[in-house]
Amino acid sequence: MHPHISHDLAIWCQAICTLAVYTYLYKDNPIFRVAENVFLGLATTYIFVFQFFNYIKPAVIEWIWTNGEYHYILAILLGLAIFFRYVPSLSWIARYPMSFWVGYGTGYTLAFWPAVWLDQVTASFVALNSLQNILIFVGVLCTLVYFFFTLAKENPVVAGVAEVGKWYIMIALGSAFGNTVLYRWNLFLTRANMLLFKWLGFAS
Amino acid sequence: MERLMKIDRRLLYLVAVVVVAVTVFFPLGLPVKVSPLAVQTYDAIQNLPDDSVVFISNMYDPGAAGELSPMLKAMLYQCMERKYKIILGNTSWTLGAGLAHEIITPIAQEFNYVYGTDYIELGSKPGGVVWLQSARIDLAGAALVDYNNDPIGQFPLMQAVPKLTQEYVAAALVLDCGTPGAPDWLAQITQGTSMKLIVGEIQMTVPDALTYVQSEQYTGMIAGSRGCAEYEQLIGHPGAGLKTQDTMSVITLMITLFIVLGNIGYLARKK
Repeated sequence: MHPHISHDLAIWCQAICTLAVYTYLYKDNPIFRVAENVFLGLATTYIFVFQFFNYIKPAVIEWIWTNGEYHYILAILLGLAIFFRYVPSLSWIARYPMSFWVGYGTGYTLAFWPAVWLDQVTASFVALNSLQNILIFVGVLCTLVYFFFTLAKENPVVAGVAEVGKWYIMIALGSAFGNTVLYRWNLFLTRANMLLFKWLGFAS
Repeated sequence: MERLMKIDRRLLYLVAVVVVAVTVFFPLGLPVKVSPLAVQTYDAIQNLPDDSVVFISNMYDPGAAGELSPMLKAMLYQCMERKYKIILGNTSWTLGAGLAHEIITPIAQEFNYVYGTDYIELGSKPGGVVWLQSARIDLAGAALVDYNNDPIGQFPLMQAVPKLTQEYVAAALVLDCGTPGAPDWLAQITQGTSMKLIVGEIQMTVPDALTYVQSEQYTGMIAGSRGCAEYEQLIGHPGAGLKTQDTMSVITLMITLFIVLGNIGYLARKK
């Protein structure tokens, strides 16, 4: 098992940045800060340049210049108005595009999402012909009762049902936590594979 | 016993690194049993009509590439073996466009796929759900140019798919790690239509996504790295997903041990 270190500059950059970020595990340090800020700067620049050439420039040329759809200029001005937040005396202008976005988001949610949620509500009406279905039915009801804060929890029936709901919620949160931990470990594993096999060149 | 609560975390990190390194170099060869969900996902893609057009949306960035890039690779293998036409693109995940380009290019060459006729890369478009709404009405108008910044209208595949609707696209394969993501594809594009929505989820979002699978809003789901390993077995192209399962199994045992030790220390301190 002999290493054959890569001669690829891109791989070396990956390896150096990965190790620089992992120095944070020891303690916060300038190497980590440099890597973090280099990534932020590079990512921001890449996103801006890519979006400019992949969307903004062709959109301006085709829609406004070629097709003469000048109303898009208003949309561009509305979007640029967000930068007024950096001018203290004119920062109130930035509220207009923000309110547009909030309004659109609210309208979008109310228009498109009820159909999605209703499908899930109807999917919870399951035939009680298997243990899994019974568990789903019990879980949905008990969890809903847990969140009925206007029901008197002094009532022993309500309290008991809400307690079952609480256990369902804890199990669900535990499952979410466990999945999150595994996800983070898998990301580390990917980096470890890169360092060991692509950078150091150990045979896999 | 209380000292279990005071173990330096850097020691735990070191143990974890050693465990990972050992299992990477000396794999255990543990079997990976294929779950019904993976079979359902494989069948959903495999049973699409011949000559189908599929839209593969890589809604992720380098932060989730560790789990989702192997899924993208596996999906591309299956789709190209079935000779589906492929449109690859995303909205709002700009950093993912380059990742997808690196993955699809060698696979397309392997299957002799012709760019513009058999597959096309749209890159990444801003706008999220707004872009999806626009694409549903006029895909070429919403996309404008491809990944290489060439006008979209010249490509035969894009001429054949004027809208992102069920009439032209048989299935949307969405790799999801946040917002916008697969739920937005569901709400905007596939809800109430015959277009299938098959998703690849990071491990973290699998519990949430299972509700969509249970309600049949997602036709199939590749559930995290374990799901990817199962899927790779089904398509017959073992890859990064399968390779990591031994280590993931050992890591799971290690974390369980740490949690048990920590709880023993906590209970000892309580007494």
